[in-house]
Amino acid sequence: MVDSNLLLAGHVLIILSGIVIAFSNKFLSSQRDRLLAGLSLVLLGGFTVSTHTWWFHNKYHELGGNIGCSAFGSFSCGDVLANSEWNTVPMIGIPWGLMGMLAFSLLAFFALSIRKEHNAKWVKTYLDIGYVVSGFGILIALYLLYVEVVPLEMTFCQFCSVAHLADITAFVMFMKLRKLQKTDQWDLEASQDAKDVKAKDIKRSQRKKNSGFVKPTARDEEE
Amino acid sequence: MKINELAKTTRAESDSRMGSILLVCGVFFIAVILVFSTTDAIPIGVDEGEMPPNIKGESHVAGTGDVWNNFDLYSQFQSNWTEGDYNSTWFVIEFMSTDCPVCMSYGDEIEELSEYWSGRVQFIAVAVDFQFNEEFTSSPEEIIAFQEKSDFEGCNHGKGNCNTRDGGPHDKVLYVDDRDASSMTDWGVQGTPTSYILSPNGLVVWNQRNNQGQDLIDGLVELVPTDGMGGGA
Repeated sequence: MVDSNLLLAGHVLIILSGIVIAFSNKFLSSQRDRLLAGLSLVLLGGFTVSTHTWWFHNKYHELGGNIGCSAFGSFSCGDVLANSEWNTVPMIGIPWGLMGMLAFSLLAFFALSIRKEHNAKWVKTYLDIGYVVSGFGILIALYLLYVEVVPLEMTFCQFCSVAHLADITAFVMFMKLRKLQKTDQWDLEASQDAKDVKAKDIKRSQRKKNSGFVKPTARDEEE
Repeated sequence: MKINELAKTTRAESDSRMGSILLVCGVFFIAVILVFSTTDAIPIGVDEGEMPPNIKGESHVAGTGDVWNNFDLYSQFQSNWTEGDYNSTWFVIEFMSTDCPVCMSYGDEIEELSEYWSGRVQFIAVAVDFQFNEEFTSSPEEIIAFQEKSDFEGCNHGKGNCNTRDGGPHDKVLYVDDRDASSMTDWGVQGTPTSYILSPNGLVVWNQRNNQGQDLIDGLVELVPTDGMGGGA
């Protein structure tokens, strides 16, 4: 069996590569593309680590007893995920891992749709919803951190922490995308076209002012 | 012309979203299938075949004075137990109250059963208080007195001496303090005494509520193997 910490490193690697792509100028031509590609990878990492968390949750129930993740060598993760008092969403009762999968899927839908149609009318709405959902995720992460620190007496689950890291990163990226969307940088091609049109307009109006007379250039004089 | 362009744009936008939603749903369902196909989750509950909620608190062993130790029910289970393994310990979980008259008179049966099944079945008495009834309030001393059948005024609605309970000391029964009724609530227990039998891997195999008309002893005889045990039921 592959060590779970090795698999955890795989999730972290996906998220880190997303961060590198989003904030490095070496990849892709526009900032929008970089941010959206990075965001997609971060959300994929969040999704896979949430799936893994849910798998642990189920594995624990399958095995019974106080085994949880610790049998697979992942520190105190079992003490958190195996704790029936805290391992499900209050009121709803679904495991936190499954909740994470749903949330990251929703955010990934927004990111992929925007990547394909960055000028669509719904882009602003999707960015706003993504920003709010990932922001709400931070509140949930803080609540779960409180659970790990106070009721569970400093017992931490690194799989949950990686999912929280993915959510916080997604929040920052959605925030940057929202800012970017309000600038010319969002659609460089369109803004370049607009600049070209404007330059032509200026030239045309200049020609009109001079009653059609075009001042010869140095090259014309040489000829 | 403009209408045509608008229609084209709208179609392209909806196509892109449809593509995204198909991709996300596809990945999501593959992940769900992967999780379900590689795990066999057992639901949490107190019906037969379910994994009961954990019981955590402090426990007391008869004859150890006023020493209480940490107790965690899940840590008692043998997760790799298989049927036919006769060396494993089964569990009887008995929700009871020191102020419950029926529990007072049931004390002799618990004593006999725990003595007979000693080594094969671990009896765990979960001592609760009823949050809505002021007559059902105990103390750690009262629980110990009930367990050891010693002199203490306060059992049986707070009006009787604990040494008037039927039967002898419960030397083979582990008493767990659940005076805040947290485990009682988790297990959905409505009154005392209420019994459950758990297999060595922790699954509920007998629930008193689902087996009306059958006594605990009947459940034990039917479910727990007696191979290698001395005496007879």
